[in-house]
Amino acid sequence: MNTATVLHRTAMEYYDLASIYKAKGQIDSFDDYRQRAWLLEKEAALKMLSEEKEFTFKYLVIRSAAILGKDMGHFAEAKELLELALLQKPSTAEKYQMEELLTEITQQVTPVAQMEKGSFLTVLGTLTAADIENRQIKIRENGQPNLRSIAVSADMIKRVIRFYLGELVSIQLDENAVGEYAIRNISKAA
Amino acid sequence: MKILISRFYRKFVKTQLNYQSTMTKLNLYRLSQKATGISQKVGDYLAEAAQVCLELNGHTSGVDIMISGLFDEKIRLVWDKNLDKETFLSWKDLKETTEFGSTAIALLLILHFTNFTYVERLPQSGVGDYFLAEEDLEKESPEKEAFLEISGIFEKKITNTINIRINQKIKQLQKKGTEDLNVWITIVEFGTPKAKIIKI
Repeated sequence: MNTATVLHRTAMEYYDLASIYKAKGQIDSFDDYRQRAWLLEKEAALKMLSEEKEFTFKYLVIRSAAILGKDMGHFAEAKELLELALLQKPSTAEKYQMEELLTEITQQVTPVAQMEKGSFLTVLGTLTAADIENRQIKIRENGQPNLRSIAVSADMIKRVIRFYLGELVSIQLDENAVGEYAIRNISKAA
Repeated sequence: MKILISRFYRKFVKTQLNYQSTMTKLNLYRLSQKATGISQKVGDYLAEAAQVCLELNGHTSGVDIMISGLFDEKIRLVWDKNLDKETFLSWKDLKETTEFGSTAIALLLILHFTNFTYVERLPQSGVGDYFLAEEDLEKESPEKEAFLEISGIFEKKITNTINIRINQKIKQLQKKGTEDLNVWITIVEFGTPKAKIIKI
């Protein structure tokens, strides 16, 4: 078993644990394990790309990394992995699936946060926590190591936010006079 | 007459006991020992989800699951753990619990009925939840490789049966260019319980 397979196996264990923590409502652990899964799977994919031999599993690992990258908003890296894999010799079925995924990802490669006329900010990231007592949510923006805290009403957490926990979301924020942000709209990122 | 009934009854009991002793038993918590690629920790979590789904449907250890499709057999599912109230409560999302639980049972069945020994997890999106192989993963041997698609039904409904789910899966897979691939589909239903295994 080569290093790439070992890395993939560990990444998938983290991926499974992340899903299990999500099912159990432990969103912090879900986010933590998903980050670890992505980093290891990306490493496994890079090692697979340097393999000269052709075998199905090689392309599965690369596509797997690209899927994780896409789910976590690392669109540019996911795109690059797929483009490099397509330069090699995948089977027809794998090629078809990678091209399909690449099309989906290409549509997402846009600036992650844009200021529009200085009035509101759009943030794209994973909703990792909702604290009803302190009336705030935490979001991990794509590619950022730290979490961003955003003020939200308790009512909105109860009615809307809780359905998006653990999901990749797009949040529109209004800026008030003193430069603080409040949530205007939240939706699942495409 | 009494003697005849008594003989018949003894023969019946003996047949039943023989049948039960030859019936295959699969322990939910032995998943990680059956194949390369599933750690003890993940195997136990999946098994726990399966146990939760089965017990919420009123089943206890030793329940028989009917297998149909490519195989026609009854398998006895056993487990040796007692779940407390907290464990049941901690599985908050029944949809996901069903997904994990059906994964545990589907993998146990596939490993029991086939020669696959390598089980590799794949993230969702694309073909298959698992990549199966009989030999070393770094070898190119398509005839000894397959993708496994798994789906679970917590409780059968008129609009949600194993056959309906199988047809949905086939349609989904056809859209993903699977003509040249070896794909197995396993659907598990916890209410009865039963499972269907097909290959497309």
